[in-house]
Amino acid sequence: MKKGQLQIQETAIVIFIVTIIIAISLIVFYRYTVDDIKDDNARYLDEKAKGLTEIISNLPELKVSEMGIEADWCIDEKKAIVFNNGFYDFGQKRIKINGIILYDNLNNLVETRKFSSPVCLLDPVSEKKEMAKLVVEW
Amino acid sequence: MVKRGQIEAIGLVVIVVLLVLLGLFFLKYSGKGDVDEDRFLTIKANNFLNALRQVSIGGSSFEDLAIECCSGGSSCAQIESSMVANGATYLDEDFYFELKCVDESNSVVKSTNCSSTVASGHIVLISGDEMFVKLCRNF
Repeated sequence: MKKGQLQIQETAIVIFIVTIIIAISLIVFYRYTVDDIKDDNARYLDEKAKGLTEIISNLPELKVSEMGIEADWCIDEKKAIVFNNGFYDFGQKRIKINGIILYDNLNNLVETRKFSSPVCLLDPVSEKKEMAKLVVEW
Repeated sequence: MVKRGQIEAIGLVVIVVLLVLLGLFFLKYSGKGDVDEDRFLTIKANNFLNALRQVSIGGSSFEDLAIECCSGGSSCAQIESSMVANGATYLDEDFYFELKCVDESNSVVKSTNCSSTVASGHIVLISGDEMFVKLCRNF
């Protein structure tokens, strides 16, 4: 084999090895990026769902009010019972306070996550205030 | 035969690739702490304290009983049992609770053994007494 042919083969081998290294790096980078995006998405959904506990417990449609003015940091039990009117779209979630379902759109998800927060629940008839568990499932 | 220059070039490429991968792992694990979880635990702690303050216990609110307890009344045991029962039922985390009376005579404390906690805001009652909650971090 001539010296020139040998040099061409050497160059080809070097280019081949470098290409393989770059290809492996790209595959690793791609997988890492995809996993990272999935993690970020899951984290975003978690934050969004957990943040709902704060939003729900401050909704004027649920809070105790007198003559239309917010009166207490409590959820009105009667308002909670009639809340499920489809006005709000919280996505694929189930939201409930004790046994009262405020929103249900889980669509038979097999694996769900859950976050709960205590809230004050007022029975406007007896005016008794008790603690309740606001649960968000997603 | 591979020349010495080519071997060095390949070595450099490998080093650069390794450095890039190290940089990516560093970026992945830096800056993503438990700050978000802390935020939600704080919300939970504040919600618990706000709800607890208003809960009715035998015709009076928890707040009224706390004020009575701090002024030397006999309601301290009642608010302690109510707080412990509500915490066990409505919180998923172990918690620390303190009712700090102005004159420091009749404070109610529910302690916890966890090393790392997230605190709620302090609620100052009309009488000047304070109460707050700390939730244990589960992570």
